[in-house]
Amino acid sequence: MVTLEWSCERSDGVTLVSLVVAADRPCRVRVENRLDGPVWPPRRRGQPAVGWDGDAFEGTVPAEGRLTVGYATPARPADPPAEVVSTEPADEPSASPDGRVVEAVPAVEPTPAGVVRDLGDPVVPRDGVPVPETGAAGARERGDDTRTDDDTRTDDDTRTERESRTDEEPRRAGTGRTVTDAQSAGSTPDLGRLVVPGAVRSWLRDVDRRFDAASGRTGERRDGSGSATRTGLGAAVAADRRALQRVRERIDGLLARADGGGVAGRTGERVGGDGRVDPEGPARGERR
Amino acid sequence: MILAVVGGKGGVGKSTVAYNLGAALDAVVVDADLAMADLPTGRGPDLHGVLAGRAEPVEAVRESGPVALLPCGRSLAGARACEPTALVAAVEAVRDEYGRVVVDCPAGMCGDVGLGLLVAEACVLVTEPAPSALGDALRARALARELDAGLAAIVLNRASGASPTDLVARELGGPVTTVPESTAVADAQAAGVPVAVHRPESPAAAAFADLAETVARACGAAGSVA
Repeated sequence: MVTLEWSCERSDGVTLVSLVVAADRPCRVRVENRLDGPVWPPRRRGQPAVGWDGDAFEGTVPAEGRLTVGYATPARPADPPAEVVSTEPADEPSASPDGRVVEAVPAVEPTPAGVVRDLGDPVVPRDGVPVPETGAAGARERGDDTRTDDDTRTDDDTRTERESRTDEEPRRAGTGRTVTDAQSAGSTPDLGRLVVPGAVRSWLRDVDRRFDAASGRTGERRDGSGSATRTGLGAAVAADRRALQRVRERIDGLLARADGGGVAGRTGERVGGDGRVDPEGPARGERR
Repeated sequence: MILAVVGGKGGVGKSTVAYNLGAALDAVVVDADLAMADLPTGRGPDLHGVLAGRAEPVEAVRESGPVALLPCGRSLAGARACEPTALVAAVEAVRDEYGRVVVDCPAGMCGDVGLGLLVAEACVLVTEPAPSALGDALRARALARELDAGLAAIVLNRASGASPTDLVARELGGPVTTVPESTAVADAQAAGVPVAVHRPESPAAAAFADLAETVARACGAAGSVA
């Protein structure tokens, strides 16, 4: 039997969630965030810590022990903040008994993220690259006044691209989650809310915020200097618009497939889940 | 075939070996030193652009020189904008198009060395007959083992007749090719061409041809086993 204890602490707009998973025998568990916001997992050298995959954490509860998990999120606390969505017995209670020490080399997980996590991010530290701050919005928006060629790009660009890239994985995870939800539908009354993957919700929310910031910025510019320099935020908004259009095409295609028949049951449900995003995404794209 | 050229210590000749090996194997040489690139670059898309998602890996390959190159880019801002983990997919895309890729890994034991080894099937370990270089080579060797990049060959660079070739072969556990200290290598680097083009009769040119054969044999054997 697996039990989950939790505590949430909120300060300065961030909720810190602490979870303790206890079990009467060793088992492998998957814990998923249930708060309405993106998960900010603990990171090592910029990569999510071992076990984190999008909104979910997978780990092993040791024999007569407890598994502790912590993460941050901008979402407001709720009960429960997370749920154990799957449990399977761990075959080997004392996994990896090899205490072999390789000369001065850390154990490296053979995945791209694992390599960077274990060996370090080779990219130049942020402080090493002088990027002036523009506007009152602070660290989120950095200008490209000093940048002269296409070789460089803004952090907003980076963020947008990273997000759209990581979107792929949560998408797969989201499919799995939908199935899980469907199986435990009886205990999950708010199924409709959970069908839209958290990654999609948080992406749309971020886009919304960038649009808000951009409209505020435009007003500022008109009142003040009047200079119409292309800012990092402007580039990010343009990228958002492109991404929204692309997502709309994709969703239209999927909806057409869903309506065209031949798609039923679990697949239909998944497509429907994606479809729920449809009215929200393009509508916001067209607003500007 | 994807081959990583590693060494641990800086200045032992990794880029020189990668470039000349690329020439002998007719491979694309990828300069994976994201922060401090060595191999020549020019105008057009580079690895920074590829890892930032702004260019396709294959379109960033320069075929104009004597050796096909995927140069890295040298601006700090470009390095900052990279997503280093994208290196794996980028190198694989170049391999799918060109067949053979030599990844010139940077010095040290940081993530970019690890990513080069992760994507590679085998590695070439470059070292010099000096205690500091050999110590770093041992660590690079251990990292390669950790990431499953088999050791195809060891290059003992700037070697003389008195160099401890047997000791190096035993300690690092692989076949050793010695590349003699020679002006032919330096001249060829300065001219921006492989030694085999610049001074085909030199012992260094013969050594690189030898190395290419050893590597091809090692990788061919690994391929047939798999």
